[in-house]
Amino acid sequence: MYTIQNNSEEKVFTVRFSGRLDALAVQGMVEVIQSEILENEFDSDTKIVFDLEDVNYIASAFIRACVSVAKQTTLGNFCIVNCQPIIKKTFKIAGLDEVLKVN
Amino acid sequence: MADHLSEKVNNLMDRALLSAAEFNQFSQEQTDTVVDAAFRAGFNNRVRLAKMAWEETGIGVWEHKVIKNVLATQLVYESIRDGKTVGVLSSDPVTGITEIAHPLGPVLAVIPVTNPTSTTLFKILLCLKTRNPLILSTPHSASKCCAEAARLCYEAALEAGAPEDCIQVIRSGNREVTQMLMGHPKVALILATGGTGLVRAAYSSGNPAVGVGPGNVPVLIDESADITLAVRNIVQSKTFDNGTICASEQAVVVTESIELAVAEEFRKQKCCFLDPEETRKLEKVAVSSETGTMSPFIVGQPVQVIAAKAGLTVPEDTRILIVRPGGIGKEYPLSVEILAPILAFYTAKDYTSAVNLCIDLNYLGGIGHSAGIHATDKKRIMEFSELMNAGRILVNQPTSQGAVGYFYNRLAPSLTLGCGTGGKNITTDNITAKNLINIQRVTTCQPNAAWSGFDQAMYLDETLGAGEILKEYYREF
Repeated sequence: MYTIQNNSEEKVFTVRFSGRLDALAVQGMVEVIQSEILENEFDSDTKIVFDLEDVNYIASAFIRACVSVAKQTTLGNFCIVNCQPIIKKTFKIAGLDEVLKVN
Repeated sequence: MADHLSEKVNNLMDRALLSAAEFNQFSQEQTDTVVDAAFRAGFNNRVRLAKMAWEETGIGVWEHKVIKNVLATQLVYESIRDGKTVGVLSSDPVTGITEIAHPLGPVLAVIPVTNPTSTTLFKILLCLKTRNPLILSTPHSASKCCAEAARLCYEAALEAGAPEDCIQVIRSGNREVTQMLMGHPKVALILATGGTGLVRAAYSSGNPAVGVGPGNVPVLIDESADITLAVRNIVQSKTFDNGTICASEQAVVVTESIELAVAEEFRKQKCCFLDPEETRKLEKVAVSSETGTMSPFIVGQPVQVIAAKAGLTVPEDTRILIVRPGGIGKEYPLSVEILAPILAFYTAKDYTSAVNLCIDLNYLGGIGHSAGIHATDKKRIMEFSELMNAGRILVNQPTSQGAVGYFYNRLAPSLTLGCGTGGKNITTDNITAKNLINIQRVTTCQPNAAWSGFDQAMYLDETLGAGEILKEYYREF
């Protein structure tokens, strides 16, 4: 469901998700990712990126998880990339596309 | 206090928006699985919820509330089950137009105290079918039964894969929250079933709204009618849930030629005609002298309770109290809408006068709602129908069970009956799933052959009139 790539040189921490991110799939995922971010003790320049290229469905639980992780980072350092149109639209309907910097 | 409420409202809306975002991704099959689960949960608890509603509100008859719950679940489900509400609805190769369904977004659903669990179940099924999360605003004196209906459906829907927060409930006493929600910019639609004040608030909120109107339903028994059947229908309708359906008959109008026969039939059906003094006593308890509208106490109360309150002595088994107001208007309090087993009775000298009386009644606080006629004369049925300002004309059937649809006709089963502009509503529809989707039309390029082949410079010649231009415009056809 997800893989993590930590590029410490370029200071980019990428989580690449795939498949259907329904409520069940999201369970426990957030805590793991947040722990990883905490453990790495990133500085304020590090970008946290969620890559959703291979994602075809997101539950409201996943959107909440994105908000939760975004709050953990320094302002402006969280973004979501490579969304399929339906996923982008989902963030748009939720009114969170700008806040979460959905590209 | 205001900050606390504001936070509560924003919280509700944030959750509703996330739910809407997730719901938008659902396929028809996923949607229908959720709807099926909610239907079963509601239907399977129809009796318990009906009893809860009756115990909590003290209004109506619990056995009839079971039937309302059946309408709201089984019949509504039957009417919407196979309907398409996701993706392509239709595609016409001739016009080149394809229609696609989109959800509206979060719906604020206001529930009336007269039909609490049934309207809750009804709105839940419609909103789930159309992928619109709903926030239910429940009445103070029916909050528990509504919340329970919502809980049952929500748990079943979640189990079936529905998005979190597809159903949320504002508990009682939170009128301020409801008002704030009405005006919230993220509310997609207000589905307002309730009194005039509520509906006006909904339409004034700045958000799209679908409301209802009051009904002062006149019913004409024509000379051509089967009188026994007509009276039986009226009694069945007016006693249903003690007259709480807004489409119930409020006044019966007959001509002199059949007055005695009709009155006799009502008496056979255990209805009691009150004399003038008894009528005056009833007026005092049934209608507020301040507002001129029905008193809240009277709504859905049985005859015996009403009679006792008014100091009337009527036979124990009386089913309806019938009065002859003598006129129509503010000076005749019992000529207004009264959601109780009280019926006004008018006699006209002939058919034309009878119809005129019905028009007066129709326009006394019930424009756009419903009207009834019992007749076999088809010409009179159509004449009457064309003259009434009513979204529903029920012919030879009870108006309560008739107007809500599916029991006696093929009207969409609904507990939200639009009254059109006369009732200050946007539609005369029986509200159903098709009213809760945005339809998008994709159109392929299909040039208008007449337009393409026409020399548009002719339009600039002001000496040419419609005759000349249209002759040239359609020369090829």
